[in-house]
Amino acid sequence: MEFTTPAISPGPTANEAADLQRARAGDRSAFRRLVLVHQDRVYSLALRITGHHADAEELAQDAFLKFHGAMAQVTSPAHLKHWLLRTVAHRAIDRLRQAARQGRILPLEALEGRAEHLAPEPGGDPMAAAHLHRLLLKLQPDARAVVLLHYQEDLDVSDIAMVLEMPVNTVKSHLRRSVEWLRARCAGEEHGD
Amino acid sequence: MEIELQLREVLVAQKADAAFADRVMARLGSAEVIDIRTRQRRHRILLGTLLAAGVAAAMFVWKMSDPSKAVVQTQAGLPQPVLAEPLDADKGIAGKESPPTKEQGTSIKPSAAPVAVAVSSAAAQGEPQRRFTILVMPPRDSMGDARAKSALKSFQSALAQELVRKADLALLDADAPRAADGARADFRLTLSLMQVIRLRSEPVRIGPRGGADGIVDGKTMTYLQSEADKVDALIPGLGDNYWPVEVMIDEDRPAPRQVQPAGAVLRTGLPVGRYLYINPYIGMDGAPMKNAGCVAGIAGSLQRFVGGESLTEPCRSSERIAAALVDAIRQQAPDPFFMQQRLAAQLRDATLPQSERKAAMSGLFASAQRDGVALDGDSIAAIAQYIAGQDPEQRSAEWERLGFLLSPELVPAMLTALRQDADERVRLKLLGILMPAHGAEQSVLDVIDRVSREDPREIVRMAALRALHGDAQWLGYVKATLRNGNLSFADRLHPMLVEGLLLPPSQPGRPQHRSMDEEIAGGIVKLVRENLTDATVLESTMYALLLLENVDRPEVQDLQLEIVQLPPEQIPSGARITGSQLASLALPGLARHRNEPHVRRVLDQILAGQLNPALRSQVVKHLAMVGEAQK
Repeated sequence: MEFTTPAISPGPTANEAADLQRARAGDRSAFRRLVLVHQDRVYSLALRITGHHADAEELAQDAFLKFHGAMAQVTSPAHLKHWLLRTVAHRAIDRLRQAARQGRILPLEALEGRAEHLAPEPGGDPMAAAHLHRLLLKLQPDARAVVLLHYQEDLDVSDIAMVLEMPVNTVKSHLRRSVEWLRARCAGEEHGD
Repeated sequence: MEIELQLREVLVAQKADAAFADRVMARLGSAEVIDIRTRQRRHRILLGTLLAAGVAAAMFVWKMSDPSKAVVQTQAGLPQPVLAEPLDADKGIAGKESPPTKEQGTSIKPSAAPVAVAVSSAAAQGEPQRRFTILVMPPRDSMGDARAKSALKSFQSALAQELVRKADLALLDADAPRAADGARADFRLTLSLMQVIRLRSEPVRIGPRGGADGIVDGKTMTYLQSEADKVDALIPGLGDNYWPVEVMIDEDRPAPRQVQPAGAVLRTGLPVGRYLYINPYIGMDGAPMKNAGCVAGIAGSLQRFVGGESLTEPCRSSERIAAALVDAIRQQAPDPFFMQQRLAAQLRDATLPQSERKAAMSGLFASAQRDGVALDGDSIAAIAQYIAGQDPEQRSAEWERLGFLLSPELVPAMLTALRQDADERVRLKLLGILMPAHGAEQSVLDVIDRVSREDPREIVRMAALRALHGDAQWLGYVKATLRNGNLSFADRLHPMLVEGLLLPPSQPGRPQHRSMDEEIAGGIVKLVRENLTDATVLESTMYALLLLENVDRPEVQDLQLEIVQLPPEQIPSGARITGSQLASLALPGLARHRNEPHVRRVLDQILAGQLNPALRSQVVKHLAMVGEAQK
């Protein structure tokens, strides 16, 4: 067996760190590159929490603008990722709660309809994906954010606890209950319940 | 399919609109987008720190030009700096401030972690020594199908080619003679064929039958081996000429640990010990079926398993399954001591990219925080060494993070850094961490006492005295500095701006309240009035107004009223702050006193557009924040 060793090139993280430094020094093009790096995850999290494209767009934009004003506080690309996720998650949850208080919450059917516009992973089962999105939108905002951060962003419970500023045990509870609920709903519907 | 796998499959990031970044940049460019008020509220301490850095540098230069001259005269009654026992240059902060030497991080090699046996061709060519060695075992199979064997070997070769690309892995070929010293590898990689699943040309149906569990995501499958022949898994587009493969990596121990039967392992999806199972399907040519990125994905997963590198390859399903398994390994069969040693070795390895060392640092922190694992001496030494190689801001941040652990094991390292770190901000931060959490320990008090006498920077000595004896002496220092007309505007604010560094990690917030009395508030007001139209000290004016933001004193209110009534052309603008932004810093205080007639009159004039129209939206916002909505 013969092994060859290609040159190791620096990963995207190194560029991101450099861009972060440049952005902090006032380089707008570096800031724009940071936006491009993180826009999908930030927008996606907002979209999946709110279920509303326009809200998600606004929340995501706000998160980046807020980051621009707080760049001195962000020390690393990893910190930036968590910072953005925390900001957008809190704002999205607040948005839902505010809408609920003011009676402007959309009917579930409307949310479910929107869920079908979420693109499934290429090659995945679009029906199953749409179904799961509908179920996710039935979770409470906090629980939904926990599930999304865990399964979409691959954050572990301690990181989620930091992002959402929740006790670790609360995160675990949300995760366990949400998954059990989703599993029960999926299983029930498979069996025609 | 298991719901967890479904979630991982379905929850891929949605693409933002192609013009999203452009819209963000457009908003950024608009005049109202930089909300200085929001920024000041949440980030003022850090901004203060930045200014403090500049001030510190200026003070340092100034002090160096005349070392005998103190920044302020020490107050009567305060202990005089005593240097009867100067710190040794190699063991203390000494009398000069030199940057941390990066050589510290490059000369020490990993010692406690599994040391790589660098016998790969890469190592022979002078590549950096690798940290983990994987012994690639001959393919294992229990089938007589020659085509299957050939395909398995081909797949293994492709996988090995991917693995050897990883910077911290070295591969050993089990067919080749071992290294002369007989050293064994850290892990073994074994591939074996599993039973062929029968396919039927019927519509897709994925799921368990007859009690056998299968996890199928359309690309890879994990299933109960012993029940394989009972599983119906019909995957569209796949022919019947493929074989499921088991990829197993385990520690290369002379006597392999006992594991549960493979079936149980696979069924639960929770590997036992350090075994990792991934089941790609390979075709007759050895390539994974319908999944071009799968080999790289598996290689990345294995890399993550042994080294903790983030994944970038596209094979999301394999990658995510592997990631889930790795998580399961860590959660279900943790070996914290082993992990800690490995992370400490990564942290010490200065040849690694900074991102990997940072990830190792986070791993150690998480291990201590989440798992409650006490950090051993090696790990603490690695942490201290790593932190010493960072820039001052990062050093402060890392110590602050570690401060959350409240770990007594870390105290000696923190005390050493308190005495030796070259940057006063880091030393101030360490004072803020150590005193509240460990201030009852005599060893801590002894070092702080020594710092209060011997630190080369007056502000650190004063902060140490404050930690030991309370606020009174510190206040004297703050006031004396504020009064000292020989200092610049920024220098005179410096002690107040660094107060944030002295707060323990659990108490972020508004440090300026702690030392804001009539004399100090009056002093700041006087300074602002004297410098308000001077564009060269705009930032200092901004920080002064931030310090006064929540001070409810008549002289402060008068100043705030005066500022918002100034014609815009009389307020200087700078690159980082405009005149209207500077003026808006006066608004929170005025909004709190909005019901006082003379304040109300001015606010109403602004709202009516008769006075300083640029401030109108800010007035609306601040009134809303105190509960007064405008139509």
